Amino acid sequence: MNEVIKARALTYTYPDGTAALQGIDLEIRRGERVALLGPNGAGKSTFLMHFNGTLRGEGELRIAGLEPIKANIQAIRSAVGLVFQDPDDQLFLTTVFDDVAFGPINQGLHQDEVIGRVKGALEVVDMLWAIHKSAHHLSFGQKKRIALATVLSMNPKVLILDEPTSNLDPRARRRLESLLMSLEHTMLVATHNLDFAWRVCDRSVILSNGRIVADGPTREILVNEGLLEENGLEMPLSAMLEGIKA
Amino acid sequence: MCQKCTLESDITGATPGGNHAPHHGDGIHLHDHKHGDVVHRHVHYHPSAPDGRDPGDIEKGHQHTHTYSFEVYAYADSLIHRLDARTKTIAFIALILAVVLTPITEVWKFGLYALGIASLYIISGVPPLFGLKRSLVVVPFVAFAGVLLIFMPDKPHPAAYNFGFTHTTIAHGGIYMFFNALVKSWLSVLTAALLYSTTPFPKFIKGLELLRMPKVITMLFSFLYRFMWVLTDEIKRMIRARDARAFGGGRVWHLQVIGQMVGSLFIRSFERAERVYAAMLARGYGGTLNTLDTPSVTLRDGLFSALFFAILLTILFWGI
Repeated sequence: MNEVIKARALTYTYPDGTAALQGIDLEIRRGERVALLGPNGAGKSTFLMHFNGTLRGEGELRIAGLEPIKANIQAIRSAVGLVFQDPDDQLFLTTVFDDVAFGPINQGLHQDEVIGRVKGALEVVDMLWAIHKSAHHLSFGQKKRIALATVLSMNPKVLILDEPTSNLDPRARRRLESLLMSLEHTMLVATHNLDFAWRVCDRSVILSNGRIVADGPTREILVNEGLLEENGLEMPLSAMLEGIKA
Repeated sequence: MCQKCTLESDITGATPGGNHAPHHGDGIHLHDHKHGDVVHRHVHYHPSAPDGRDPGDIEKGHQHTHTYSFEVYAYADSLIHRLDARTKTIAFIALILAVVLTPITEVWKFGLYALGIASLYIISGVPPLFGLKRSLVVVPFVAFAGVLLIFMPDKPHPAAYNFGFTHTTIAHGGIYMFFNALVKSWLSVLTAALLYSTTPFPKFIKGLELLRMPKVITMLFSFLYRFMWVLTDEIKRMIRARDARAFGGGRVWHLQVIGQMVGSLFIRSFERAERVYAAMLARGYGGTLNTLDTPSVTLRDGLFSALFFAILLTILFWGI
């Protein structure tokens, strides 16, 4: 089983009739870092909500080889680490420790293992020093890193990140970028930050009006000006700079 | 800038911990630091050597709170701070009960209670003035209700006083009732202030959980604690946005705008609640909010409780 995520003709229509996904075919293999690009309202968030069983559309979907039926939901949620855009939504407990331990405890791990996982995950994001703090005493960038730790502690097979760089200052963004580069997890990153996609993701998928309109190596997709223009995107400056240099 | 040693300290942004413990002793002191251009001044402490404290307190390294929060002193260090949250919760609630149950006629007992609370403040290193300031919030309420009690008709000992301009009947019993309400609530609030000044709120909640407080209530407390500041920030942003557009007009218009702000704050909170719930589900939430229990009742707690209750019960039952 090499595909961590596999979608075939996935469609989803909201109760109000909005057809958010109109037949998505996507396979993500182990170890890939995939950027999910597209204008606002393209269906990115709707698509991401399928990976933890919050939404369930028509068509075929396999997450870590599991079908998103009720009996599999807990296993799927263990396999998928979903990091939300606003860390204040993700960190809802009183201390950093409790927040990072929340997932592992729900996985039914033994106390010592939970503590080990929490320390390990906080070490990875370089926030171990804040283990007993409350989230409201931390900066936005620090909260983002802890939000990542809350899913790393669950040992997920795939990380799904929703706008990981939004509202970060350049230093915090660079720090998060190199942190993500150092992880070996399979990743699906929904982002508007095309420079970030250029540097971090080897593959890019463009979603538009609920359909995948482009899927290929980032270094081919993000230099195709016509395609980018059509979908409300633009060529990343990093790509332009590298183009000038070449 | 650390006021104790005048050393520059920079714990902005990503500097981990800013641990400058070695250059002076531990204990509470005032400390300034910057977040961008904003200077925060707050009470701050450095833990000393690992003398039997739980490892968590040592890892804290640079724990502090900000002055806008009610727990300015909660992260400081003292004998009282080191007690288990359960010990403090039970002891202080017992103290409040004893204060409430003592008949007001035994005035000297209240003197002893006050003395006891004062010494707890001194042991904890929390300035008594801080507690006094905090406790002032109750005075207007009690004074308003209590003043009425003074003029209530009183059968055994009505007395008329001449204040020079008027004849007023003051009930002796009424005076007692006034002091009953005032003294008891004041001492109770002082005790409560001591509890939240010596116990970080997360530990307090965990203590309540271990004392078998229903989970729904501790969950409510912990969400309140976590999102109180998030919501406060949201309100501040809305007020700033309102004022930035030269908020003027008449009183009716003001009320209308405030009403709309309350409405949109409710909707925003509601939407946030949905997102938080989604985040909980994503990490496998199954209906109970589980956190790890880290009980740490030590001999110290036993000794403190024994001494505390011996004194408390002696005062309470003296002369009965």
